[in-house]
Amino acid sequence: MKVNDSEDILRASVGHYELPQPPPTIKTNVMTRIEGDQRRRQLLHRLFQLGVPFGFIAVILLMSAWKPMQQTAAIFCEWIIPSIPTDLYGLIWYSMLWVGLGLGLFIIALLVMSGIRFIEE
Amino acid sequence: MGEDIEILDQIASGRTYALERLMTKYQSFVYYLALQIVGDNQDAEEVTQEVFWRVYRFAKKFRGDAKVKTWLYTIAVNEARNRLRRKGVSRFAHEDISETELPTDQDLEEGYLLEERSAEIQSAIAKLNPTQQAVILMYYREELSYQEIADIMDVPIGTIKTHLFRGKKSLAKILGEQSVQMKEVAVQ
Repeated sequence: MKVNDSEDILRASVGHYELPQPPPTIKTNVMTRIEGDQRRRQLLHRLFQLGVPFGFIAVILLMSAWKPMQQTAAIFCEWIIPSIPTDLYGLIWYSMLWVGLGLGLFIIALLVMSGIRFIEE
Repeated sequence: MGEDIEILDQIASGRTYALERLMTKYQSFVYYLALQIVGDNQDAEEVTQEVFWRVYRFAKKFRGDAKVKTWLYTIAVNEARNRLRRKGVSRFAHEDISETELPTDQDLEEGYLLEERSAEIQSAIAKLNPTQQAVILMYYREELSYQEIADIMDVPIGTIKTHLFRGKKSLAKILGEQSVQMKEVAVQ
């Protein structure tokens, strides 16, 4: 008998090799673990959905109750709101300030969102 | 193979039924590999669970530069080895093998007295050492290449060839012995 024949027979025999049967609990356990993980993620997601805006409002309220913060806010408002500049240089400065504030808020939002995604993963 | 990638894509998008499909397809061999490495049913079960859990968690990170089953078996081998390492046991496949003792085709030819000997071959395979068994099954049953098996087991390709040749030589020897025993039984 040639080696090629024996290779073919070996291939055919091993092809039908009966592997030990894995316990049926494997699939159940993996699925249970996945379900638990999905529930945990959903819970975490809801917590963040509620927690982030409420937390933000709570922080602002707490800060607004703090005297030095009230004074700073008052100065800031006085500086910005009543004095909308009329000259070109002032207007540029004024709009850049608001663009900067907007960008700052946008970056904070991005950071919070990526933080949520990281925790969820 | 394309079907496996499709299944993996579905797993990546959170569909658990896809994972069930993948498990149905591959859990037997993953469990077998784990069992060959850790040598204990309970540990093999836990390793298999961990493998599919990881597949679920990291399906998104599969780059597609290997077959899905190669990736799966690599996770299985690594996970089983880590488990053994944690237990401080060494049992599988990292032995350094020289490539100088390869059996010749003649050796193999003499050993095989093959006429519908499938059942005998299967029982003979069960008598091989765990590494040889796993390599023979990966090569002949799972139809993986030398390179893929080497990648899965994280050993040089020559080591895989050696395991395969030695496995076949042992198989030939066992089959030769079985043949003599069967003849004796028939005479009685």
